[in-house]
Amino acid sequence: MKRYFLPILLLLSVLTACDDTLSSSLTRHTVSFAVNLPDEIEPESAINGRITFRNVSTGAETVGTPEETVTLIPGLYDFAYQATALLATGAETTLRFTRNSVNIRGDITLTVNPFSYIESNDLIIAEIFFAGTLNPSGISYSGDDYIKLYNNTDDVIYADGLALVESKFSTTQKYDYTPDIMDEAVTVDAIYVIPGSGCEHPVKPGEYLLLADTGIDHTRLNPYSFNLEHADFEWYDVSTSPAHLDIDSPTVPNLDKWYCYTHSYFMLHNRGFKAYGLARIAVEKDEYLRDYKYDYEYTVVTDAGSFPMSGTAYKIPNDWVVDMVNCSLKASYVWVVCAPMLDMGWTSCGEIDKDKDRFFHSVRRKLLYLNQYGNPVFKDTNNSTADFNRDCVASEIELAGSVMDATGTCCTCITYDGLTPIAQ
Amino acid sequence: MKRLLLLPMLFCCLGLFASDTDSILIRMNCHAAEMPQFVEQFFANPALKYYSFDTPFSSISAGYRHRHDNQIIVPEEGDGASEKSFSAEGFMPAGNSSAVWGDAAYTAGKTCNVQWCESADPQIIYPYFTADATGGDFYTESYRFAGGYSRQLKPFTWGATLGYTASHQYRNVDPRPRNVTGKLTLSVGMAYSITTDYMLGTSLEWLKYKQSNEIKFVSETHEEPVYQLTGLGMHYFRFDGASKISDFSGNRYGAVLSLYPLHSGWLMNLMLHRFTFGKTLRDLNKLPLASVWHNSLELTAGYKHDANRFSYAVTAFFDASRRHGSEAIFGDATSGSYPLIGSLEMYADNRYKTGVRGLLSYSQGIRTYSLTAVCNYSHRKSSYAEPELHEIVEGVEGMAKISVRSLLGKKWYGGVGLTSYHFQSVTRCRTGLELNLARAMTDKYAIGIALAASICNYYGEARSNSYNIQINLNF
Repeated sequence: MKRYFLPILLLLSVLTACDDTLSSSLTRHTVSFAVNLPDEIEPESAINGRITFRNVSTGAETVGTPEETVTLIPGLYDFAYQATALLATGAETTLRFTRNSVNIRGDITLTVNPFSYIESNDLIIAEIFFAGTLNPSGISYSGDDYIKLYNNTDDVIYADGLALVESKFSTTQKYDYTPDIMDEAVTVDAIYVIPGSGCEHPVKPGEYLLLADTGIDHTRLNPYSFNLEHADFEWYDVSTSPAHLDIDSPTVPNLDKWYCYTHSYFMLHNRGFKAYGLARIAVEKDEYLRDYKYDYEYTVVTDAGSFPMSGTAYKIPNDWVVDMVNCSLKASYVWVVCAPMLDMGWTSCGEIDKDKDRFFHSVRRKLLYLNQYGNPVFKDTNNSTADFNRDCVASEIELAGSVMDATGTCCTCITYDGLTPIAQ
Repeated sequence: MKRLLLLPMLFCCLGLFASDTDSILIRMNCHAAEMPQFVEQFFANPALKYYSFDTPFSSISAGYRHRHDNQIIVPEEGDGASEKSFSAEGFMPAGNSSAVWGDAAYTAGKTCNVQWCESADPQIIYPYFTADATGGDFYTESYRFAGGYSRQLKPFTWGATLGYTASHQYRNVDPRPRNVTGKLTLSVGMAYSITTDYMLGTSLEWLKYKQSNEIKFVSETHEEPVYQLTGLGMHYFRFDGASKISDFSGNRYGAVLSLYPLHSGWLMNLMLHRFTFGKTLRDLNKLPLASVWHNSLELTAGYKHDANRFSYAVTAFFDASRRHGSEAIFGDATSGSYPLIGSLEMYADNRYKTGVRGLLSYSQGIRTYSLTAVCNYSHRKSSYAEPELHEIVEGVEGMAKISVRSLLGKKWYGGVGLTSYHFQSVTRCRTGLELNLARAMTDKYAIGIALAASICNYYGEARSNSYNIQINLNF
């Protein structure tokens, strides 16, 4: 017995005590890049290229340059490319490309087709307040949601004919919609257009345009809300549901409703699962409603089986889109519902689905600087993740000094972008 | 209602036991002997359990246990705990060739200020806890029933045990986890008498483990994100806040091979176990988030001399385990479900411990003096693959316990034990004191009280104090 004990003990020690390093046992794959620059960009003029892989599972980021290869563990990644390039005119432009859900399971060469980012010369979305407020009992109050537009240029812009749109598809649920038109158009389920002949609603540089759900003094219904009687426009719906009627403010003009999916009244998605955008629709209303329908099909897969589904919405060609902002939630985000050239990222209020901290908060575009006239210039790189501050106190709450959380605390600070205070 | 059901079951369990010709104090003294405790792992084989005691002994106990730490030492264990328990256990040789034993217990208690773990049984499911940044107190209720039977059919002895433990863990303020766990254990064993003094035994074990873990928030104004931890401070980023209901399900299989001397001789025990479990997120369409395999080996070999006056035993042991966890990788959540596209082994926890144990026991009439000592070296390395993280804990531990037990006249029985425990690498030092006192009410019944207290000092300011008080009815 004694003879065998020590050798067995030694053998077991050797077998079990060797410390393997797990990471060395992980397979790593090499990713190289084939960058196809736009025709107007000379290859040698593209500099400062930077690529980023973000592991969807772990959130870890790997950065590198397109000239070199990167090694990654197997997994699902969101990929982004950015470079600076000189145009033949001497102007500098930014090249961008994103591709979500890249499945790395072996060595691959990733094809990068960057597009040249062109600065917007139209109104931009400065703020989206979709979450609404709470009443003193802690119950959610809706109707005080709004979207604020801003003239980020040095020129007067006429808002006439500008359409406010909501994406049909949710950023938290993805299906393979066929035909896939994302590279050509945005699929929308609500279109409200600013009325006017073309010169009736000027927006000066540094001015805002407030589009409200209901342009009334909401404090009469909810003391924790605020007054929206000063809104520039409201979206009003003639509801066919007697139990769900919209309120038509006598002091605020209505947007021209071209289309909306609902038969009652439209409101922004309370948890922020949709994308919102601005578009200059290049055809007349009748022609648009006739020619720009989008019929699509998709399959829902459940435990009970696969179910073919179909739907109908409207499409806005990407060329008509002025600005897009994807909203989502970290806990629920699945995809960006428009082409990367319109918006490469997403912004949010709250962390989790039905997050109770989202009330009273909005997403607000980041301040870059104040120009020579003292007007704020906001960040607009068509990447809502980078361009927006999340979970900001809504600007209308700041201006009204109204309640900014469920405990009834009043707001005492006014900011440009939810973070930078305006000097009094 | 469950508590009311428990009582008749306890008494049914105890109804198995009959009295013996020896007085209760003598039987108590016999069952408090150090040698059966020293070789307790051999009795995991229900066939060998037959040889553990010659006399019947049962007890019903009501107890209270309290622990207080001056700071959080292990986050998932909180900084304190208190527990009330009501239990019964017994062992009885039935006839000349069989034995029956059983135990039942109900415990209710509270663990204070648990952090970064909203799941139950963290020592079983680690590192895949469901967690949030708030934590708080946990209220726990648990029930346990177990019973076994063994029979000698010379030269063989066979036996089987069956046990079930259920627990319910909850909190009444946000975040409100509700964890329900169930553990079913089954063990069957066989022993063969190779000589008059040596038994060669083998047994097979199976454990079925289940846990459902659900977290609710009722506050109208705030809700915490819930994280799925993956080890060494990492979490599954993609599903942060996305799921509040998870399930754990696993099986453990084991085999034991033993060479056991009934009185004196060489002994050897080899235990092999494989435990596998998986974690699924129920509210994400039963998404299989992680899977774990855990292999363990425990080998003990040595010599024991068990005599009426002077007993001793010395064993060398080697325990090793490897726990590896894999995280699933999911593709794009198209069509409302997450397709599984792969799996990566990201976590490893490999450990071993080797050392020697010794027991020296001297009986002088009705009084027994004993010294138990353990000295071992332990090594543990936990790793995470990406980002590359390692944690190594190793060191030499030493433990010594001296105890005296004695019959005190015809009516009284008493015992006292002093334990000192040192863990070198983290300079942990624990000192414990145990007191037992019992008074025979009749020849068959005795009432006793058991007290235990310990002080554990860690490096720096951390300190953990605990005490345990138990009142027993022994028969």
